[in-house]
Amino acid sequence: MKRAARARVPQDGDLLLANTPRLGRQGGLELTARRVLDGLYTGRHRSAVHGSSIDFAEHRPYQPGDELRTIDWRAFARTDRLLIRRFHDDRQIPVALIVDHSASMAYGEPAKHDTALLTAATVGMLAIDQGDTARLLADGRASWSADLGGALGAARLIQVLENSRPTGTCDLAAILRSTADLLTRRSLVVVVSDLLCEITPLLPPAAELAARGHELVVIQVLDPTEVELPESWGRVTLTDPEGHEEPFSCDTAAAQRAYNHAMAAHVAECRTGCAGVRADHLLMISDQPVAQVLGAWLERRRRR
Amino acid sequence: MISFLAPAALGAAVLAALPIVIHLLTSRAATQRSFPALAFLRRAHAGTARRGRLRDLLVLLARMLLILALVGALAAPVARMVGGSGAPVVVIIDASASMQQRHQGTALWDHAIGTAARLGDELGERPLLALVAGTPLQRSGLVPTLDRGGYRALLATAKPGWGAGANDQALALALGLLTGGGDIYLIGDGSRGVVSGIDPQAMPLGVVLHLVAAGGGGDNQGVRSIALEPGVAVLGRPCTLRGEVVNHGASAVTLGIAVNLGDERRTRTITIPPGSSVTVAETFSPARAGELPVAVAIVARDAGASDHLAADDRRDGAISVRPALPVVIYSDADPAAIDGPLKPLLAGLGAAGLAPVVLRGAQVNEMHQVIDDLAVVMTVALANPPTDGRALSAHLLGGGALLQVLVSDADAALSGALAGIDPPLLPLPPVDLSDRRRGLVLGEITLDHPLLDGLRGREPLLRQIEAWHYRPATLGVVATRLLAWEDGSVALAERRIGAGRWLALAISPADRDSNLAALEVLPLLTARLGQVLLPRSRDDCALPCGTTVPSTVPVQAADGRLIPVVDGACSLVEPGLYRAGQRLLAAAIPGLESDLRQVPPPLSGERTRSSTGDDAVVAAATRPLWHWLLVLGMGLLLAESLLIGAWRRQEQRA
Repeated sequence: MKRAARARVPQDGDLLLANTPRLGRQGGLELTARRVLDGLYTGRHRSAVHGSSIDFAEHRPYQPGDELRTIDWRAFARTDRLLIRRFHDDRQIPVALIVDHSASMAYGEPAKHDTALLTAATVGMLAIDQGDTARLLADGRASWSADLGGALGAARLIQVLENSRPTGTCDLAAILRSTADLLTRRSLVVVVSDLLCEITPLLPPAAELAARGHELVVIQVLDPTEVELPESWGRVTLTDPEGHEEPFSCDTAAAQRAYNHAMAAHVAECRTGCAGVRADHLLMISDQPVAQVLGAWLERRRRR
Repeated sequence: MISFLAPAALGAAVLAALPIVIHLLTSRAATQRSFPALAFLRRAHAGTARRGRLRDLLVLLARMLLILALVGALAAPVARMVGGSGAPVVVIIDASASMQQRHQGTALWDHAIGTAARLGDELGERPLLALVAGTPLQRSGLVPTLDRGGYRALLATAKPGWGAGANDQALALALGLLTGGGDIYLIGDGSRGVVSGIDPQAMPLGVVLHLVAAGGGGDNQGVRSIALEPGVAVLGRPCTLRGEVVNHGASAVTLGIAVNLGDERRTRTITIPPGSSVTVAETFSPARAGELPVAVAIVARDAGASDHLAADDRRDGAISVRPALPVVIYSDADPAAIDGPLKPLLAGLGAAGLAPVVLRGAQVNEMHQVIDDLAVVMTVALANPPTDGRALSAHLLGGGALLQVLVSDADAALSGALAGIDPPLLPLPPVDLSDRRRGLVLGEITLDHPLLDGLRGREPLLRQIEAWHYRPATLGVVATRLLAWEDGSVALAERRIGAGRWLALAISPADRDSNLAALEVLPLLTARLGQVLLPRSRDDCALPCGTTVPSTVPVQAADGRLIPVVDGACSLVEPGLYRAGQRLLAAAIPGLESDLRQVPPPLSGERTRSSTGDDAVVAAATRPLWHWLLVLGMGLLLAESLLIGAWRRQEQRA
């Protein structure tokens, strides 16, 4: 087996693994949550539960059954009341990565899907590197991976990602609804998609996620030609890779301005919709360096 | 009703589909791309696409209409006018001799009349007037009228003339009638004679001159002129008859030419290159004096040579042969006093070929009997001039010459002598010596007289004239003093009377000291008397057809017809010989009428059109629309540019 492993031909996943920036290790960045999330194991992030950390949280009146060592005797001496000292509990952040695998993600040079995978890999490995767990939904079977973490988590993450292929359609609203039902712990849900769909249907499940205590981050990946329609295409017949739309012929020189406005309005609507459900929105152009964009985004989150 | 002059051009209307074809070709060449954001593009482009489709449709429509407008303009659409515009029309028909040519089996005149008739029919209700530009000028009425009766009557009776026509007079008359604007149709044969004397550039505002070529034009040969040398034929002395024969054809032609003088006829063959002329000269010695007919005629022609106007193949003329009998008459003065001055005079006349006959004393009275037939009369008098003014006048009017020599105190006697003769002469203007372009230069003064040519280079003599200073002065009413010497030894005056010439020469008597100047001057003057007294040549022995000549006796044509004499004159309309008493007259068609070559109208102007007969009729009945289509095309081009420009500005603003 070891011999076979040494003789293994480099796969796409190896390339992805090699190209994935390790923001935590190399850049000193940290994936933090703006909300108090709740991992299963002890970690480096403050959780919603009280536990055994050294960070004092609150006093609570003593109730029968409480351990006596938790009584704050100094407070009893001052107030003549039995109060229990409670401390915060630091837990892991459970990160749920959802990668849009629809056929539209195959568009662009580089393909948006590649950028999405790299983005998901970067975020996932950042979480794993800082001791958190990550789970992934990146194929059309709508099946989540197990929580990935620890030393093997990164390799498993890459393995799952490399099996993702952009085909068919992707019903993000349904995925978000199922995700809300699936996640029992408050998690950081990272959605990587081009969001070339109606935003309105996505908002209720996103709001439900937020209501259940999850923090939603939407990374919208678009190709440069989708942000600004190239005038140089001239008269062209365009087809929808997902097959929803009939082929459409137009002169891009004539349609460019209206389209650019419409796309800018759509991105703005996505940003506004995300803000409405207290989700973070990040626009990523597929020809931009992922590490730089994510690094800037993480820095902004840290400052907030 | 709209029709097309070039309907075949309408086939090019299929080019209107060119923008659609180009559109389809470019659409078919559109590339296909996959684009995920297609729904956004479709929605966003929906509004602009509607506007774009409308704009594209308008541009397509403008381009198709532009092509159709250009094609329509090429097809030369015309609209048939109903009722006419009301502006008056004057139709001028060239009635010159060249209109008698035959073209394609039809007389050109008939073709012109047919064109004029169709014009009258096609011009609807426009007032109309016809002018037949012959001699005399004929008109269908006083002013253009709607009544076509006079118009048709004139066309039915008008005949072409033998003269050069009177197109310029007819045009002037038409312009006078069309002061408020209108159209003038000048129907001619398209030769250069049609437009001679017409300045189409000066058409007044509102008047359009239509030059209508009735056809014609082609090869023609004719006799253009007959000339006689010397200008007066003298009995028994040689004279040369010259006939200029022209070939207006496109190829060289060999012609047999007959030259007649009286009953004598000579024939020769000549070859004339195309577009040039050859002068045929034959020398005769008239055997009898009096009026003689002359003629030059084309009597034979190459088999292949064509001739469209036979009327100019013969040209008649008339000359007067005079007996050579110069007479020197002197009065009863002392012969010894005048023999001295007469000697050099007689020597000079003999050198000039004139045979002097001297009548002395009682013979003076015989002058009245012989003077009518003389070519030259010389009178010599000490004091008194010839007395019979009537005979002398007839002699001079007929082209004779009079040399009056006064041997006296010269200049002082000259004025009195000339004034003393009072023949019933025509009031001719004096010789204009102010024309100093050529001649003998005396200081700042130029004398132009052949008699003075012998003085050139004689500076001592000229200085004496200069010192006396030359002054042109009229003597009596018609005589002009030419020069006089300072010392009074010689004075010379000239008087032109009719076709004749009267020279008065005053010489000082021989016993005067100043006779030295006379002796030097006289040989120089008399050496040229022959040239001066007899005209060198006579350019044409015939009058142009249509010329009116004064006559007191009936004029008879060669075929015996009598030409009516009206107010003492009659008109020689047709070519040929006429006899008025003892006088022989000849009329010939103008030489320019032989030239039937079609020339491009030297006329182009805003208000001048040139066309053929059929085109003129069509143009008169229709109004061209092609220029409106061009205007429409320009408008469409502008609209297309504005549409595209507005679209691009909108984009730039956005």
